[in-house]
Amino acid sequence: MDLDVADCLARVRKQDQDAARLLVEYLYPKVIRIVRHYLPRRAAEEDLAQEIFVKMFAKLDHFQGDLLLEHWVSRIAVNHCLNAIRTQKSRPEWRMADLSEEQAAALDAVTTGAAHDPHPAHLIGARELVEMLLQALEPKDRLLIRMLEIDELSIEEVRQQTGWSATYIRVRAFRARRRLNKRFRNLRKEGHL
Amino acid sequence: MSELDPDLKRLLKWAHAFSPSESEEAPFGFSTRLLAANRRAQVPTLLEELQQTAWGLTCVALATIACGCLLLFSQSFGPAPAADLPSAVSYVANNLAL
Repeated sequence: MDLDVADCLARVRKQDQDAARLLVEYLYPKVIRIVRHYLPRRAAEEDLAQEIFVKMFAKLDHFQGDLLLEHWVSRIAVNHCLNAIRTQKSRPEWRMADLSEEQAAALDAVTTGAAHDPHPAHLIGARELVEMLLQALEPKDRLLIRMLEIDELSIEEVRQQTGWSATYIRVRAFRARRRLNKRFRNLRKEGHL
Repeated sequence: MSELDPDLKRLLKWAHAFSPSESEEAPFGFSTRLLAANRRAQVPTLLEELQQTAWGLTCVALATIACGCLLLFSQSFGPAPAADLPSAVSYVANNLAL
């Protein structure tokens, strides 16, 4: 979808509802991707997206155009998702007995290194297992692991999307990896996180 | 830089490989609902209106007090009224008594 962002923003600032609608449709894929990606429990993804857009419209007068609109909106979305994650109750401890059949099979397959071309059921199990592992991390750490290790974004890309400094990202990611490694080893060796 | 356990890395890769295909288009009516919600958010609520009114009344009260203080201050430092010049109140009282 091509959009003249500057022209559209100018019209939105003049309360042009059609331009606002165009802007929402243009930015929606970006916002919903962030919401889906960083919030595993998706019951209210549309509500969250709506809250992000309302926040965006409220702050639109502060947007100076010194960074890309997409990056600016990404930062709003990321911060909103972080706040939403903070309000979720985390489950501090999982045990082997809590794992579903798919999750246990995925863990087994990944640790034995048997499956180079994993079964679809293993992929589902792996996804659920990763969500469980990430839930034990702090929201910012969770976000960084997703961005750096799952999405394989560069430090610069993470910086653009979050607005955090490169040093902060590196230090935080270092600690997050260490915590995640520890939890994964616990799960593998002792059967609990 | 701390690296992830290779098995964990593989697990993350598998998790990434499983991406259920979901539409990224805005659902039908989303922008209309959003713009309506945005309009509602811009309209002040009853509480906000009450806050604004209370704030306005406070400002008026403070301005009145400040004016009163200034008047008292100016009177206490101004020239004393002539002793033989009756005040308006005593003038009216004397004339009414007549």
